[in-house]
Amino acid sequence: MGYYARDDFFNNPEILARSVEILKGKLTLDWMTCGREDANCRPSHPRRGLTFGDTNVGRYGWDQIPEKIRHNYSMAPRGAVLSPGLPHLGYDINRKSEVWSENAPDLYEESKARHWIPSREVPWEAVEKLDHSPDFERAMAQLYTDLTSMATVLGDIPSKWVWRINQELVELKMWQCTQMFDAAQLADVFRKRAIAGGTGLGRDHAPLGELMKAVFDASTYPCASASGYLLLCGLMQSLMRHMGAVSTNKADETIARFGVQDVTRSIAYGIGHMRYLIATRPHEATAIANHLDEVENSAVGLLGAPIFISSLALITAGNRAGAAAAVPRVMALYRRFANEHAARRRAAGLASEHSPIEAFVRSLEA
Amino acid sequence: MSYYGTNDFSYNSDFNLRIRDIKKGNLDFGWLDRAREEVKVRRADPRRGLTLEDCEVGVNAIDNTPEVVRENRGVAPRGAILLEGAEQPDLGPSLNKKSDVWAYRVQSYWEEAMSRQWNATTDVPWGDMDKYEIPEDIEVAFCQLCTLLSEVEMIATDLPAKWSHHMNSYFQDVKNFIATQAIDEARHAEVFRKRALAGAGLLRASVRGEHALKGILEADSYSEGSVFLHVLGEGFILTLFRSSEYISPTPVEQRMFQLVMQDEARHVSYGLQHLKYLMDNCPEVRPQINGFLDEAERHLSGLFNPDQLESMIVLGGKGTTPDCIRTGIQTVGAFQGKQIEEYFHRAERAGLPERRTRSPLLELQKRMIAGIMG
Repeated sequence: MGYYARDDFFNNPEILARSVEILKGKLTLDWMTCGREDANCRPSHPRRGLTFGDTNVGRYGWDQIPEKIRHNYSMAPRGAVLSPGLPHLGYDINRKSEVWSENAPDLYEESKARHWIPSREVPWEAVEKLDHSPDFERAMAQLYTDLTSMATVLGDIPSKWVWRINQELVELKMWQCTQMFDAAQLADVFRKRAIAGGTGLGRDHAPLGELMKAVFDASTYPCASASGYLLLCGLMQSLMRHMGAVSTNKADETIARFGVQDVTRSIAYGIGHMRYLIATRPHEATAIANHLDEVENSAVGLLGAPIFISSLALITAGNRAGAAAAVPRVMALYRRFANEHAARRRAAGLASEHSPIEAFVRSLEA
Repeated sequence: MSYYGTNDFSYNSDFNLRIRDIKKGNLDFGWLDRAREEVKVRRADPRRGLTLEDCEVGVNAIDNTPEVVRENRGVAPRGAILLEGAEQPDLGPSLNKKSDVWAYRVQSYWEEAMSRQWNATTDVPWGDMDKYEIPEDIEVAFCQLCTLLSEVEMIATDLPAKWSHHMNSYFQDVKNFIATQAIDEARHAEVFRKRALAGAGLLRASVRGEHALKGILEADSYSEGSVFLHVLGEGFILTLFRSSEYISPTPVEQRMFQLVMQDEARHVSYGLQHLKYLMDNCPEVRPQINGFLDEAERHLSGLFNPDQLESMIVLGGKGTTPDCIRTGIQTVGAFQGKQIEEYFHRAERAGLPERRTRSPLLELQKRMIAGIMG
């Protein structure tokens, strides 16, 4: 046991006496008049149900959260009456701009509404009757193996930070729980797809691990958010789109469709978060842009890794014999990814003239 | 930045040469030629789709994974071909022993959790709330209960999250399951928050309850945190949910409790199966777990705080008149006894029958009865 409360409630005779009094019928009912405030929220749109947006009212709403949270370090829900003696739960992320994005409550609602089930909604029967070559399947399995590792790290980011975030930011914490869940779902479906194809999972490789470590080891949440949601999710989005487009298998198309919708939500959060942070604390932009440049360097390592680029070339060509001729199409894929990534950086307020990804793609095109 | 990759690719001549070679179409397919033997995986039951259990074949199976995972320090999925030697970047997982996290049936809990997701925004008939007239004292009492539930449910997202990223990626099944727990519990906190905000608002936070939550969050190990959270805490809350469905003022609230109960039961089952796995495979930790539970059960008595007790009595008796309060006390007394009894029963099933004789909760019960009779 790591925590012993100052007051030993268990052996406190006053507490026992109070409980006994209540069970004898002597209620004070003082909690009924403790300073509560009626809310009476109702769905603004009956078909959509009662959304978080409908409950953003008065002292209960997120508009009331101060930039620096000083008044509550406990798990008391925002807007509840805070009694003296509430403990400090150890939160060390207590600034709204550190984590907040104005779209987080809506993204949370959307995520629940778009839930899907990998075991049943992917047409696995299509994987049982593959109509492509074993080499094509091995390359797909290799990329699904890479995607499994990426999804694992994507889930580890919120897991690493959410329990450290002040409870006043509850909608944001809930959104991070959906991110953990979405990432788990993706890790599950990618791994199942690699195994179900018959060739089994592919290889773990150092350039992928380097990128995963660079993303995971971010020393602040904003850095983790920028590298995880702008860069890693952007890369996953490009990969899934491409894999869904080149495969004629219905299962791959379905996985790409669901997967892209999930990671796109995290990209939207990442951009929203960076915008909110930089609008509140503009000086943070330089450090985060530098961090993103550094993680991009690791991403370049992956984009240039022989196993990665040859897998992409093979699935793009459809077979091993035509893979060499497909390299320009892989470069075109990299160009699209670099352009989209640069656009996201600009939208987030993190544009860089030293982007390693842009430099790498230019060198490919030279 | 806390990690700088081993290469700066802007100034790496080997890398640049390789890229020049790739541009010429010289691709390395060595990885393809050194591929693994094929395995056949099929859906055991097409109606259930492709489950994790269907994929438990050969190197992919947890049964073929050693108790202590040494070879994987990165984020490779179980069954992937690993790099030879120490080339794999180390992401520092600290839960690398299967018995530290594993639970019997965890894969089926994952599949069940995926299938049984619900939506607090649309699956509760919020539009029906105006159809029912709820007396003010009942409404306020229900919102006091919702305040407590919204407060305690988020601990069950924070505790699993605190440990999940420390787990070796070979235990992805457990990481996945506890990600479902995180979203389930977020949804519980959401539904109780929304219900309070649809009525009398949020009331008073629980000081003693929060000390118990801090005890959960600050457990020394994942297994201790799990036994406190899943078996003891969520077990008590599951019984509370059942009773709360019974004393709910309208079908809207009943629906809420029906939905949260199925999730909570799954989390309790995971905790039981983890504890059972731990007891079966690491019997040497029994004294440590018992010592921890002795303290955790004392902490948990904080949940019986006066606001909580009184609001349940008002709800159980359906009002604040002396007759109503008498009825409420009988209802709550029966429910509290049931909470403790069900906990002992669960502990027995998990392989800790001694809780029934050594638990401090028995002492608390005795003191209460003596106080009431005296």
